[in-house]
Amino acid sequence: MTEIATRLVRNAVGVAGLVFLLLLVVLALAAPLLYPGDPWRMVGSPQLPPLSPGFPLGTDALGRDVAAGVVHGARISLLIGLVSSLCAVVIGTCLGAVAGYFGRWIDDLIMRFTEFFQTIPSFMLAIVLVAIFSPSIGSIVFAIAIVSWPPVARLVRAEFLSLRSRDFVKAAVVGGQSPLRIIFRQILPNAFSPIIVTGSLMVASAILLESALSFLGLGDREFVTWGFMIGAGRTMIRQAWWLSAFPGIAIFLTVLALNMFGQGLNDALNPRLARKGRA
Amino acid sequence: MTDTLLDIRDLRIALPAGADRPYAVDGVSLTLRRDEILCIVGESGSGKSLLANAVMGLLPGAVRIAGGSLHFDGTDLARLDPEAYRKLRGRRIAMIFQEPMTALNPIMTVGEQIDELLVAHGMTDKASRRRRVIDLLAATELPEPELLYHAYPFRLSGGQRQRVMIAAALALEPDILIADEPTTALDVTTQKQILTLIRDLQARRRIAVLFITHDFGVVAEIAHRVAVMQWGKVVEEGAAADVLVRPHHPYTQRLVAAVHGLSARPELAAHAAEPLLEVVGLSKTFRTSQGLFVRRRREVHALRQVSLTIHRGETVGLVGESGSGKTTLGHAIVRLVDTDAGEIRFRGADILAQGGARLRATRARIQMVFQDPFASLNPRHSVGRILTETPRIHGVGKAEAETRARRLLELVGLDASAFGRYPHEFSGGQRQRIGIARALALEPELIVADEPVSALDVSVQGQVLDLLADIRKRLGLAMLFITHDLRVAAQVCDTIAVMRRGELVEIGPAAEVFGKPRHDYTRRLLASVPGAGWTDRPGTRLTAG
Repeated sequence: MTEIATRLVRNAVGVAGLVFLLLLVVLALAAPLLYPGDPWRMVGSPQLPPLSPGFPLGTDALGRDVAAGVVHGARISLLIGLVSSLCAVVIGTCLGAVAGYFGRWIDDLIMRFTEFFQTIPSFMLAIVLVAIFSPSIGSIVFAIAIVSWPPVARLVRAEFLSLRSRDFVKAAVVGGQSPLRIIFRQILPNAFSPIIVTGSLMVASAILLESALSFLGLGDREFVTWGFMIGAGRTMIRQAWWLSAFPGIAIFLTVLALNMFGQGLNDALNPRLARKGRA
Repeated sequence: MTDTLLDIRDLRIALPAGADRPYAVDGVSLTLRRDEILCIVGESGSGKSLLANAVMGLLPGAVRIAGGSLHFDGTDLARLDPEAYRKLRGRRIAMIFQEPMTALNPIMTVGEQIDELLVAHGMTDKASRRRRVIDLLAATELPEPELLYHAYPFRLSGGQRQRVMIAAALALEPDILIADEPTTALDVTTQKQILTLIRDLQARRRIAVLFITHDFGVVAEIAHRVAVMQWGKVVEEGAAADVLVRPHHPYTQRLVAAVHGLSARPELAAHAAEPLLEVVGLSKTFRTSQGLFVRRRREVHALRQVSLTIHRGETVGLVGESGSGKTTLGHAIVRLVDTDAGEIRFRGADILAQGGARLRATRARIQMVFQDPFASLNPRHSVGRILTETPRIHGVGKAEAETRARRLLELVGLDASAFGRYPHEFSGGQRQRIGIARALALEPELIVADEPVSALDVSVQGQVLDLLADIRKRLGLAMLFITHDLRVAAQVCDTIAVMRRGELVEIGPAAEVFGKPRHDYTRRLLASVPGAGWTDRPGTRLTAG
């Protein structure tokens, strides 16, 4: 474990991504201290441009602070990104593991089921799900998880297919271990690295999905989100560009940082590749 | 024309920083003369393959020549520019590799691949090229060369592919043929044919052959001269007849002594008459799955009506070539594959009908040792966990399981400190000891050992075989010992069962099967063992120093 950590630290790109993400988490956690109270509140004159006194990122048409929105929005974006990716990884891992380990008709059944989800345009499905269950944090997380697990299932299945034929798995079978135990104790730990890397990259796409849903007005109205801010500022993009630009930059940087971190993690977990990179 | 083709002087090949030693090849001086076969023998990591690659100018990027000289027919190879080297390769020095399955391009016909070589080296006339390719295929004793010209590699067996590789290597009439373990991936009968072919071609064309191998049996079959390598140095060099019969260096003596003859061990303990495991009429057919549009199914009969009895304390050697069904039989006994028909009775009870808790109880009594010591241990689990996990499932307490694991480590000759370490910290031989300890952890009565030593170096093989024999004697275990190597079988088995294409063709006491084989196929197998004439000549057996 420490070996992986040192390799990750040596990877400049990965470290840059990680540092940005940690800063973002700190900022999101500190939001109630930096901007106490509801970010929806009107706090200044409307349409103040960036760098106005007291409002570094300006205000919107109703005099709400854009900076407060971006900081509070980070909480929701990160929360939804992490929770929905976690759900998707859990669903995908379980289905993929069962399909890959048992094979035969179980594999066929699960893979057809997976393909069923993959053939539906995922964003459409997410919209429909959120619309049916009425927009709330819960339904958004659910919708994003439902549309993003299939790639994880395929990845885990492929890993299991190759690991299942290893002798140490046969030894566990001969030792009388139960299939469930073999799946979770013997094989899964060996398949962790690609799962973790895919999961970290999936957080980025989940944040984008959530933003897109909010942009269309399908976000949770209780909370400010980046996507909603862009959607709301869209009509005034020529008069007040900063309303869409700052949340947009926030999304861009977060997704970039997640990708950089995911890449760094990938190199750290795959020592052979990492060594080649350094040589 | 000088007699010495290749002159290697004090060659040193440096490994990249962080390797286990600074020089892969350290001060090697060798000469290869026209019309001779020089065998370079050594265990894995001795630097023998890098030496061959250095001659071909095919060293991997991070490895470089650090000193000494390499002269081929007067040309300094170390100073040669890439274009001149390219002309030399193939035309003057050709090479064949270990893995014939991957060395041919699957989307080109056999003829095209050799033809390509001729084109690359400037033969322009199409008709004469074609004639030449067919001549070459005929020279390597391939059947129907005219038809084979248009065949794709997937239609060829491993032995046939290796013949095609040899034909391609000889296409430009090189002076030197470098063969890097060319028969290691092949079955023993095929190996025999390929070795004969190489020897004949060498004699007929009067070329020089640099033959890399780890197997002294192969050396005895083919070599004129031998150079023994250990840790990058040549420790002994001389005429094959001398080195094989009177090795001087202790390392060579050890390697030669490790090659066991084909006579059965006389001192094997008598086993009980009580049968422990009875296999009756076992059959298994593998079918390729039936697709929606594919009607034709391929069927492979892995086991056909196989019957076999293992008595308490008896070691039965199951020998045969790849694809003979020996591994399937082993897997069926430990219930890793389901069978189609027949019975397996363990202490009188049919285990094929068992499931759930009764099957689990039976599993504890029949354990398995695997071939690949690198794949058979979970890389994420510590040795302690590997050894205690299964006993704990079978209801042994934590403290008791740990005490037992430590005792087992001692039994298989490992330090108790191994308990907390991970598999990657051990060598191949040590890992195999851990694998054996794991099999013993449940205190079984029968061990199915599937090629337990074939992934190991000869000197390590001996140690692991001794360990198995010792454990067997101490614990009174019965063993089904699956191997393709008849020498190994002769070393440990009481009874020998010979399998061929899913059928058990001969079974009997080891001394009888080796001494008076009844079945034709057994005789052929025995005749194919490389160096059989050498090890079983009276008076040449050596005792280990």
